[in-house]
Amino acid sequence: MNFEQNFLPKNEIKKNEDTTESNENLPENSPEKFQNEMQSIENDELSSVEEKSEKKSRFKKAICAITAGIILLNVTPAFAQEKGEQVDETQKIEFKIQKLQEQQSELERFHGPERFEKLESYLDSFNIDGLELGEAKHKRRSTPEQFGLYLNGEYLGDLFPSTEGGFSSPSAFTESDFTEKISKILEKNGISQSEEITYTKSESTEALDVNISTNEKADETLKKFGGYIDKEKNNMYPTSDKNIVFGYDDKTKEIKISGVDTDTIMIILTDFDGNKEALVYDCNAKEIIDESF
Amino acid sequence: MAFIKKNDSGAELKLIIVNSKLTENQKDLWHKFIDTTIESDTITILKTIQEDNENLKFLTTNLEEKFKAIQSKNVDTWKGIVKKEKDYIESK
Repeated sequence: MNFEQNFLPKNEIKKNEDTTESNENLPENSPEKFQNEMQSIENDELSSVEEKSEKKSRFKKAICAITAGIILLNVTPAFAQEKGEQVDETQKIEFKIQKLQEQQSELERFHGPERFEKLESYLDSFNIDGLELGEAKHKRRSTPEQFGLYLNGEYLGDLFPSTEGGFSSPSAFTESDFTEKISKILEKNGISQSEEITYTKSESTEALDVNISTNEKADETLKKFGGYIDKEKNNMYPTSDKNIVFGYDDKTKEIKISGVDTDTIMIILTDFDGNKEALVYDCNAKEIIDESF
Repeated sequence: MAFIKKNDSGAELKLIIVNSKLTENQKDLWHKFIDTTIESDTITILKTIQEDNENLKFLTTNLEEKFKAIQSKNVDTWKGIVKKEKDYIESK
């Protein structure tokens, strides 16, 4: 399993990763390597085209969008099945995240790194893995600060600063305005702010230490996976000896669960040697790879 | 997934495709493409096609050729496609 390529959560993917450099780490004849090479060939060829008009510039972007979409399409289950390749949902998510990172680089250049980092730090306070800023979908004229809010590369909504008193032109977000707008979008999309839970097990204990702040929704999700939380003991236990989903064995040190409030749940198991294994399930604890591919 | 929202630009682009004179296979490929691609890319393609209907013809051929090239992993075919793209953009 190519963990780095397929399963690494968004906040652990290196930003602005150079395609050529990452290609070196990919196995020979891998689809990812071939796709990166093709994108590179196209970028090199089209970089020499002068964008004298907006039309020309937009067409160039459309051409690159076709390539990006084709690569994404190539890893969708239906086509993978035709080709006999096994792929997973996370590959699609990761590609969308890569596209989002390109948007973020543009936004950072436009707003300045300091301001953009500041806004991202407000976003980090929500503690939702995969929640990112990107381009606004419905852009507004004369509003310098405007962003799209994305979760794992999926668009959730647009963020625009409030107009003071309804008269002055909105210019920049205040922290409270920004976080309030994010909260509203998350609420509208039914996304909880405690989406990720992590369990850590020490070598000497039998149970897994649990972050006690996990919400009720998380408890429900865990039950589907054959685990339960004893809040008094601050531990998580398997409901039966056959609990393999949580890797409840001597090897597992840490379990990170992302997306407990969404339909797709990613579980990352880390053993005491630091090796990681990722599993993707739907909200009924059915493994997505087995079911859909 | 629950948090995926169907976007308007995708629906708008699909409408253009459905009402076009493209073949059923081409329409099918566009639909799969639109369902998969990200929002900002759909918007870019939509605007390009709305700008000039001739662009739909070129982008459809481009889409088909790229899809075949990426499946067959043929670098030479890919280079040929890219060369055509460059010539087309420069002619605009």
